[in-house]
Amino acid sequence: MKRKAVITAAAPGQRHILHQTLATPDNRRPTMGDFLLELLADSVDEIGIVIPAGDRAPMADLFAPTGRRITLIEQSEANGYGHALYQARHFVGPEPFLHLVGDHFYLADQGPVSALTAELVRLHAAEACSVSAVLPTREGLLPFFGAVGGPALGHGLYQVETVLEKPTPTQAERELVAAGLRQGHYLCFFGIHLFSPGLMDILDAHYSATGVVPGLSHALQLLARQERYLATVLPGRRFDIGSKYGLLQAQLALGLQGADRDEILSLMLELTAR
Amino acid sequence: MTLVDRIKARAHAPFEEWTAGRPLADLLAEAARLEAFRKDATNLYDRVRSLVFLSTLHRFSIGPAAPASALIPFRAIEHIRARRFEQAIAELLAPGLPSPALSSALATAYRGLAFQTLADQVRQSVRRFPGNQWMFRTGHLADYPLRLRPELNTPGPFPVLHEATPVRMDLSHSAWSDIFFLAMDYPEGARVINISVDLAVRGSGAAPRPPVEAFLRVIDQPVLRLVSVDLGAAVDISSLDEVFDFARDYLGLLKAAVIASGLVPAGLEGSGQRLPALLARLTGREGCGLELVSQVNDIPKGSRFAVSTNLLACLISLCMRSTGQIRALTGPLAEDDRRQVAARAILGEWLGGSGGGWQDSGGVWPGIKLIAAEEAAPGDPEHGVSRGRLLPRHRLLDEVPAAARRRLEESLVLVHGGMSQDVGPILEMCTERYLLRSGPEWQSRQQAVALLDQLHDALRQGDIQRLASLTQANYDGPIQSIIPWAGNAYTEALIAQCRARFGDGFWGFWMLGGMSGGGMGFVFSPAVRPAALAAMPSILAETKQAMAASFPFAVEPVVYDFTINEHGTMADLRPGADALLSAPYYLLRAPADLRQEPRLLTPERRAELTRFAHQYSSHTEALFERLLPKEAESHRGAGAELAQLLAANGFDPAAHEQLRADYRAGRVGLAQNRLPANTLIEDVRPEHVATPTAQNSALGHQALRHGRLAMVTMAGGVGSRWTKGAGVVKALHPFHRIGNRYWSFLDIQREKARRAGVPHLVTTSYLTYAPIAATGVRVSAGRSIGLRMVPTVADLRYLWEVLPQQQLDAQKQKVRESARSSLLQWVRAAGEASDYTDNLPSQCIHPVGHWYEVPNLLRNGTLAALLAEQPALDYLFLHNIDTLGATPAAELFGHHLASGAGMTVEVIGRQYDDHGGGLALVNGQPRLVEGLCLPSEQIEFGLRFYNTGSYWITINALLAAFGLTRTQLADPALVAAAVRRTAQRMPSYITIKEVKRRWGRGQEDVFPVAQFERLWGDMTALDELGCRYVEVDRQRGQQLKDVTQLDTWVRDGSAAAVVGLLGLC
Repeated sequence: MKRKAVITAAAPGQRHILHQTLATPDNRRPTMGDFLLELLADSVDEIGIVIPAGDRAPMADLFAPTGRRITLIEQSEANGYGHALYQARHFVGPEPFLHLVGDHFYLADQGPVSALTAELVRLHAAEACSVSAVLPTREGLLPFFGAVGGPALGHGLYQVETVLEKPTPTQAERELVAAGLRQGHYLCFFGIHLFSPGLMDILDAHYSATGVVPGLSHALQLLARQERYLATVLPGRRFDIGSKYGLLQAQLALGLQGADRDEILSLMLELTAR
Repeated sequence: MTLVDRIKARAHAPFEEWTAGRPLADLLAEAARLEAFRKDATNLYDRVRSLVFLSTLHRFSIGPAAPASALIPFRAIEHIRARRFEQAIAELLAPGLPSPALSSALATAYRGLAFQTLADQVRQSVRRFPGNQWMFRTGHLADYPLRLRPELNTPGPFPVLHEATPVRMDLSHSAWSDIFFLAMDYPEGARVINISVDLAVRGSGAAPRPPVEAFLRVIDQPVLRLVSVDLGAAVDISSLDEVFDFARDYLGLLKAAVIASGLVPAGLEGSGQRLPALLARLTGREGCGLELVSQVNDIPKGSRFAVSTNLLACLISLCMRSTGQIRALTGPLAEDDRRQVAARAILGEWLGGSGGGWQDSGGVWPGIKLIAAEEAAPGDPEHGVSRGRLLPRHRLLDEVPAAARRRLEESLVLVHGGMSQDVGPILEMCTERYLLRSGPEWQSRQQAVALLDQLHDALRQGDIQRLASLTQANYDGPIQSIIPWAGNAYTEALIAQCRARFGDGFWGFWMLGGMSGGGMGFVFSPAVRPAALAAMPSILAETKQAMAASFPFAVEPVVYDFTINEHGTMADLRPGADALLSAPYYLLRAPADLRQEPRLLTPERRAELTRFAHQYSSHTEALFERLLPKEAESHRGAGAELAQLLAANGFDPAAHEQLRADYRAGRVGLAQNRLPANTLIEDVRPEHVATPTAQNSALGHQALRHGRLAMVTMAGGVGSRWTKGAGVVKALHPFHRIGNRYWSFLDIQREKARRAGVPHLVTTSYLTYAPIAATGVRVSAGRSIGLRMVPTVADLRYLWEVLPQQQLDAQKQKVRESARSSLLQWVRAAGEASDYTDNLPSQCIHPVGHWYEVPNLLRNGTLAALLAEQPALDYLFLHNIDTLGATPAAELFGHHLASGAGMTVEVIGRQYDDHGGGLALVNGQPRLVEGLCLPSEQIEFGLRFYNTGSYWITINALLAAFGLTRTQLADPALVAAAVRRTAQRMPSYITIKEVKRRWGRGQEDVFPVAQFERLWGDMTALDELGCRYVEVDRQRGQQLKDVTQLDTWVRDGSAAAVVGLLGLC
């Protein structure tokens, strides 16, 4: 069954990230938007992109040539991550949907990156619940990611019990214990999720009750209490393009993973030696 | 059942029962079994209990029963000094032959290893506590995970986060069950009820408020600014190394908080990272830093309210809130966060080299709570290691009704009695006795545990009268039965006065914390309390005045107003125009700003000062006082008093200047105290030391009957070691309770002389003369005085680096080294060999060694007067005030008479703690030799006899040694010349003593000072005196120099022997 996917790309200061190009061996210089679409590959047939208000024209230009069915959803005000996702509630309807953050660059350890989303879809089908991709991340990077904790179910699968947004290591040690990880490493979000309709219901209920859309981590904490919610370690890496030197790291990782690895290493060495 | 079986069975059977009456062979066999068992034991407490059993076996059973043969190998001593206890034990066990000396060293090594093992376990548990571990892993800035909360990071002006925390008072600690080691081994018995309180010093006009506060804000300089308002100290730190340098200044507690809160993670120590880069990462702003300010509101040290732990917790909470480690930025804390703060406070105390109980951060919690230890469960870091968890569980006692709380507030009078004592030795004694399950103490522990339930019930019922009778029963019963030194004569006097004045209206005494004398509670009926509150200041002041010479009071007593704090620690954010710290902060910091040219102040600083002037306009007068300090005037007053004291006590300025010149030039000093390296120093041979026999007793009795002996007690000392430099007339310190009466050292010596029927003389120094004379004893006035000097850097280095030192636990050693480097800076700033005058006048001068105490008898006419009164008097028995077993025994007197010696010196077989010289053959001549002048310490431990400081002196021989006759004693000029002549034949030693300087609210600094001394033992080098030596048993010859000796003194039967000498048993 084909699904819908939502990409959030409306955060202040990130409006140009989807336009950002990266160098590839063929010198094609695809944009970040291209990479995201490639990642979704065959898993989805309709994509909603949440963008800042007023950015419709440049975004339309960016995605027009892709041939995919793209819906641009404007976020009227920058009211946070949860709020951005909530803008896509009509787009996804009462169905499960894939969700990706627009400021991350993804690489699979082996094979095409689309295998990562495919694995998430497979797990969702098998377990019939929300699944978030996670990556064991050292505690020094906790200020940049949401993180989950819960018992290990085997094969890189975890039952999510606790979700914290950018936790301190103090909180993480206390509340995000997960078996099988190296000391000082926690399960941080990879940036790809497959959510059940329950998530939108939670956002909606909270909004109806308070007039405010909650933060996504808080909503996910509620989701973990209300229904089965899993996390899986995907065989890949993600790079936060929005962070300091995030783009450089992504570019280096991309280059070093390709056929020109030796050449790039030599270049780096030369730069280092100067 | 063997002792090993008892440990395995976790039996609560008294240790002493097992050892009583066992032959040496059995004891040695059991020691070998325990040694094997403790090495294999995986459980922490099995190991520790075996070690304490071994230590006790050797000290109290094997040592006294073993034949005196083998000496302590010097390598073992070096191992113990360096805390290599295992190696020391192996070295000491190697000879395979028991001896008192070896057992004394083994007892020390086993005890050291036991406490080291326990301390290591607490440290390990704290580090492994969830939420604490990451701080030890963060070794690089790239891993630094904390960010300041955005609410604090809005410029113009940066908001101030403020935290205020109550302190805790404990209703009962169930016999110190809050010591970590006890709680972790005996969780079922570890319970405390403690109450969070706000305080104000009565009469200050202020209402009770949380006694500790802290402030944090971003500043526009890339430094970590630490300010202690109450200590008047501030520092801008720009390097990580300085953050970890705890004893460099008065800001060690703030540094410990910065590290324990994770603001600067412990893993960054020595990493070479830059503090400004860390601050930039933390604040997200290049060139910005943090200011952390602490403030204790007028509570003197030694309050027994755990002020420093609660201040540490307050600072830690503030830092954790500001970095999002605690969810709530403001308001009270959630239970999980309180526990995290408590765990970090334990970590902070360990970092700072101090220690406390697990109830001490109780002020973080609100109101009244029961704190109870918990059994370790699977998954806990302690599981399988100790029975209990590191951290207890706090349960708020909501069942105590509001009326009961109000009634408690209406009944209790809280005071600070003025004493500030180190509770550390008491906690160690308590731990040791617990591990031994000593019979009466174990029963008392059970009573204390039962009392807590009754106290809980009384609280629930709101029956404060019953509660007070229970706290009184707790103090009178279990507390003093386990540790007699938790009480003291001062406290008893206060209780007696409350009883006498208020009769049934006085409901009971409430000991706070580990010992009495400092913070204490007196419970009165509400009807009487107002009168009691009014009377208490004078009761305290008068009692303190009466006992000022005999107790080390640190501050003037105070009475507090208090209320129960029902919130626990609370924080609030002060943004915008409210972004101000406290008025005392500005009184401390503003003068420096105001002295600057206005154009040099940043606009932010100017704006802040304007806000301060606007908001705290009532403090203008106080600000002016700070700008124009009156310090110079008071300093002049102290200087004049010192000059007067020196003049009145025969201070010789010319000799002092000569000494200073010699000291400065390096002609005298610690290194120069030593005998030349070519001096031959050997142990004496058997023929040099006699053993007294009963056959001379008759001779002694006869001479005693004929009035031929007088007893002379040397009491010039100010208890430097006893009080760690605080200064007290040691002779008058009522250190021991027998029955219902506290006995001072002097009381005991007087009574012994009275019972022996001999005249008693007490020699004194400038400081001890008047208080001792006031007791009515016959006193010889001190005539010699010296002025202390700032030591030289070379001497301090020699003391710390060349002379042997007991190494401390790793963290404490680090703090000690940091303190030493500060002291070297102080020496350089104050001037080497300059006069030490920056203290109370009485702390700047010193008695010049006990050699002068005997010549003073000649100079001041005391001996002449005594001879006139009692012409038959021919002999003196001279001894130290703290040699409690020394008596004018007929057997020894007879021995002296029969030997015909001019002076007979009592010596004892050397044990591990006997440092400071001994009896030696120096170039073939037997004499006493001071430890100060031995070319190497190794020599000392090759000397099998140690000096007791007790001498039998033939008066005529003594006078002859001074070149005098009895008739010449009437000529002061002749006597003075004779004394001066003999003094010149005595070596002068430079010694370094510790002296306390008190300031602020009971704060204390300890400074090393140089002084010179002449010592009586050197008289043994005078051939004409004809010295002989006699060996006595340890109970007779042991001197009590240190409070920590008291426990052994009681347990080895010495105290009971003294009671026997006094005829009280």
